[in-house]
Order: sequence, then structure tokens, then C-alpha cells
Amino acid sequence: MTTAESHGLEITGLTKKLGENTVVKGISLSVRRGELVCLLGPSGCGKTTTLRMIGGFLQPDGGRIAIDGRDVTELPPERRPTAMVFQNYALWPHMTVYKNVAYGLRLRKLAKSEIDDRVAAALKMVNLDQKANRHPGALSGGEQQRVALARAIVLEPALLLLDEPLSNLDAKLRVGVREEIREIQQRLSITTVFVTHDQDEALSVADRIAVMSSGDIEQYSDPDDLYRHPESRFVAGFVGAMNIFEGRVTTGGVLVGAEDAFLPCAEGVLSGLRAEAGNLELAVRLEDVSVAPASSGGPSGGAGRVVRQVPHGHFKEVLIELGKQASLRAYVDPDVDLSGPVAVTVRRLLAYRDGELVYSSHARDQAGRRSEAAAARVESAR
Amino acid sequence: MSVGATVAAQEPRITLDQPTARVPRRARRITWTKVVSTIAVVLLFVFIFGPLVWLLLWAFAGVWHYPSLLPQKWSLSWWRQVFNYPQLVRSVELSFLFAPTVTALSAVVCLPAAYAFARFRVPGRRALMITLFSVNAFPKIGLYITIATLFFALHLMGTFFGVVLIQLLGTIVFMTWIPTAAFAAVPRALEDAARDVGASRLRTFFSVTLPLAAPGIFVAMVLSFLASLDEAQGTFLVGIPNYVTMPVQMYSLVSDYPPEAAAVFAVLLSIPSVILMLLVRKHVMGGALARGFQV
Repeated sequence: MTTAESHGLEITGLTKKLGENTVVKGISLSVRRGELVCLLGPSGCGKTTTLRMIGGFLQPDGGRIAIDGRDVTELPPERRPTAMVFQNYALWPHMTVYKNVAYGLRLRKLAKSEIDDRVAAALKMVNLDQKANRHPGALSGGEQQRVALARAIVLEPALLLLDEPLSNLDAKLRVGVREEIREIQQRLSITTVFVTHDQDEALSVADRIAVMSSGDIEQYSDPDDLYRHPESRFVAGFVGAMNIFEGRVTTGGVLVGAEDAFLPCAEGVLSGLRAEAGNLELAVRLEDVSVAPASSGGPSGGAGRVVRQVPHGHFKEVLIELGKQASLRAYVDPDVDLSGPVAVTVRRLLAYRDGELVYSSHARDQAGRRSEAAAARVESAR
Repeated sequence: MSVGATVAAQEPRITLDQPTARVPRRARRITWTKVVSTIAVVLLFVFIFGPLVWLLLWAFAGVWHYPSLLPQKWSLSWWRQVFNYPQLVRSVELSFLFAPTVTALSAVVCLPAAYAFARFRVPGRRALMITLFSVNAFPKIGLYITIATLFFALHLMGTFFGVVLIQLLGTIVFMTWIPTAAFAAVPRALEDAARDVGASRLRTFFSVTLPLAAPGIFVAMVLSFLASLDEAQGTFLVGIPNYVTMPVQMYSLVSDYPPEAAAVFAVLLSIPSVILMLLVRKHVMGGALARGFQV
């Protein structure tokens, strides 16, 4: 970052031990003002622990947390400019919706009329102005979720923290509420940290995503870059649908699986990889696999058979068997008949060794987008 | 009953449709369990309420000789007798002085402990809680006699505070176990949420934790109140002759008067208990009690 402005959130060297385990291993992360950043990772990766340290509910064993340039590491939760939406909403069941939202403002000893105005505005923002006098128990899950959001934003926090806010909603509702959260976040331009284990959710709401695994940040990037250029084997497997197989490079393609099934690659895809590269973990996006009926004169080899088809409307997901030991998935045009033998070609490919990215067939389009470390690794592989 | 009726009504139709013996046999088994459980409930009912009914009859009996099932003559004379008993009013007053005092003191002593048990990692928590429970496991009179020797040395025999202390003993288990469960049942996230919007620890306790634990605490207080109201052995040992509460009065009534008088007094003594139990019935049955007695 070249600008001198202070970040909305700046974490440096944050560490947390629980017993013998180091659950957060000295992570650093900066979030620009008004930005929505997702902490994405499987359960136990340290994302919620990190969020709880930002909120002040856990004391870190090392590192610093600064919000809007102010160090808050030592402050208790009530003195931090943060507001959190808890996973189970944590609404107070003995208070009405109005009282839940007003509680924080009353602690600030605001005038009654101002409290009324601000609560009404917050409830209107989440479309719950009609239900101010209900108790949380009388609301649906989605409504409770929105009360929790209203309770957080009514305080006009410098930093909004969301702990898996959608995990208790059913799938249809989840998509709607996440749009709503994004929309409100944009309108108020609140700096936001959003914890989730759902990569789809992260890709759809975040400005940037920090993928976490075993207490470390694996990659911190915008959704598009994360999807196209996963810098580690872990990210490749975790974000988006991906074919991953062990294999090695040969002329015109790669040999995969126990039986060395030949998987041809398009012109130039392997230009930076030599056969001596040895065994690699190869990753191919489902949309980067071309599938055509074998008779249509595709490249020789790569012959397979479609064993399963899943319709998705304007495209179809297919599972293709290449010999007995290897298979891969691909997105195909639903109108093409693939009942006979098919030929597959890989158009884009990523290669990993020891979990690290060593080769990408398509370098990042803008030089600035490629992190130095990844570039260096790619160079050394050539 | 409705379950049995439904099964019985369906039985012929099912037998017609499927000539297997499985479904009818299952239906018969359900009926058997129902019969057994009904008998058990009736026995329990007789066991608990039989003596109470008998007590109530005695209280209004004028003449009642074996083998008649009901008194031959009804009378209110023993009620008059008891109400004219000079120490009665004094003992009622004393009982209703001790019970709230003991309950309040017990709350002051035990509720902070209960909160600590529920929220902090207290070393030896289990052992401590079981020790509290064990007070009720031994014959009380032995415990009281040991305590009495201590009270003599401390000049607490025959004093108001001595009686309060001895009654406190019986309330501690309720006042610790049930509120511990009530506090523990308040999700921490609700407290975190209050801290998050700016409430201090103390503020959080009073606006979130305490209101949510209130039903359990209420049940504990009622049970303590009743325990204190009904406590006779310890109060007798420590309190006489200065502090003769209602249950202690019972003892002298039982030894000095015919059973009719004791019956009248017992009915009187149970009135506050019945009223209070009816009042808290919802909470007691709502699981606060059940939750309280889990380690």
C-alpha cells in the first residue's frame, strides 16, 4: 500500500495459544477502510479465534491489533469500536427487538428521542421496523439474524465483525441475506471482517479474502485472483471446484493416476514446464477442461467416457473416466451429446510441489497482481 | 388413555389388511405397559396422598373409632383448641421471621458461589459441590449434635443467629446447585454480546445474566424458604426454649395432645408450602430443578 492513510484494521504478528496448541500463528493482515474482508477456512483453522481476538473476547499471546490507527490490543470488548454479529445471533431473549437494538445506545446515555430515531432507522434498514415489539423467540432465523445485524450497525462501529452469520440459515435464505449484508455494508461503508467456512459465500461478498489453514494465512487476495491463481495446494483445493491429481509432464500433455493415463494439454499450456520437473500436483478448473466427442478429430489420446452428468441449466457438470484409475470433472455445453467416447484437453493448468505453487500456465494479467513470492517460485520452476 | 384408545380402534382394521400377528402383538404390549404404569401411578398416589387425606380427616374428626372408614362425628373443636393455644401465634410469627431471613442470607452467601461455579474454572469444583450435597446425605441429627457442641462454645445456643445458621445448613444445597445450573445455562455469547455493545462486566451481569437465570434462582429461593419453614430438628436443638417455630411446636403438640390437635396443626403448617409450591410449579416442572441436580 503506497497511501499513507491508516488502515481500518491492522493486525500484526497475532498469536494465540490454547493449551499446547498454537491456534493462530503470528498472522498479519490489513484491511482498508470500508473494505469487506473474509476470513475463509475449514473449522479449526483459527478464523473464529482471530475474530474473537479482534472483538476483544480473547486476549492474544502475541501481536498487535489496531483499528483506524489506534492500538486496541489491551482494551476490553466494551471499549473497542467494534460490533459483532454472533454465529447464533446472541439476541437477548428477555428483551424485545427494540430493546435489543437500543441497549448499546442506552449505555451511551443518549437522549431518548435520539435512541428512538436511530433504532427505527436501523430496523428499517433491515426491514424489521414492523416487528420492534416482538421478542426474539417469536422471530424466524432470518429475522433474528437481521436484528443481530441492526444491533451491531446502530452503534455505527468503526469495525463490523461477522462470525459465520449465515451458517444457521437455510440455503435459499442464505443467498438473500448475504446480498443484504453486502448491500448494507456498502451503503454505510463500514470496515468489515466476515468469518466463513463457505468459499462460495466468501467469493460472493468479499472485497478481499484471507484463506486460513492451521492458524496461518495461506493467501490474501481478491476473489478473482484467489480463484485464478491459488498460491498453494490448499487454496486450490478449498476455493472453487478443482480437479487435482498427481502427475508428471510429458510431450503434449501430462500423465496422471496410477496407470499413467495421458491427458493432453492445449498448445502452450506446458510451455514453462519441463518433463524433468518430476511428480507434481496438478490442478485444473472444471471450466478449463475441453470435452468433445472423440470422433470430432480432437488431439489423439485423452480418450475417456462420461460416467455421470449433472445438469446446471446453461451448463452441465460431467464426470469423465480416463482409464480405470483416473477421472476428472468438467463443465460442458448441455446441448452436446457426450454419450460416446470423448476426448479431453486441458486449457489451463496449475502445478504444485510440496503444497506450493510452482507453475501457472497463465501468468496474471496485471503485473501488480502477482505477489513477489509466487513470481519467484514460478521463475525457479522454469 | 388416548394412545390406548387409538391403538385399540385401529387394531381390527390392521388385522384385516395384514394377517400377520406382529401389529396386534405390539398393540397388546402397549396396553400391558399402560396397565402396569397405571397401577404404579395409583400406588404412588395412594402412598403420597393417603396419609395426607387421613391427616385432613383427623383434623375435622370429632369421634373416629376403628373400623369405620370415615369419622363417626365431625367437629371443629380441635381447630378452636389449636387457635386458642397461646404459643401458636408466636410460633407462626417466628417461622415467618426465620424463613425469609434464612432465605435472604442463603442467597447472599450462595449465589456468588453459584455464579463462580458456573462461570470460572474453580479448582475442585466437583468435589466442593458434592460436599455441599453430602450434608443432606447423612442423618441430620448427628450433624446437629456435633454443631451444637460447637455452638455451646460460641454461645450461639438459644440465640436468633444460632437458629439462622442451623437452618442455613439445609438451604445451601438448593441455593448452590440450582442457581449454578441456571447461571451455566445462560449462553456466554449473550454476555459477550452485551460486552460488545459497551456494557461492563457488572452491567452485563445485571442486565443479561441475572434476568435470564432468575427462574432458577426463584425456584431455589422458594425451596430454601420451605426448607427453613419446615426445619424442626436443628431449630429444636439450638432454638429452645427461646425460639419455638411451627414445626418445633408440632413436637410438643404431638406429645402433649391427642392426634386430632397435631393433625390440625400439620394442616396449618402445610398451607404455606402448598401455596408456594403451586406458585412455582411451572418453574419446578420446567426443568430448572432437574438441571440443578446434575454434576
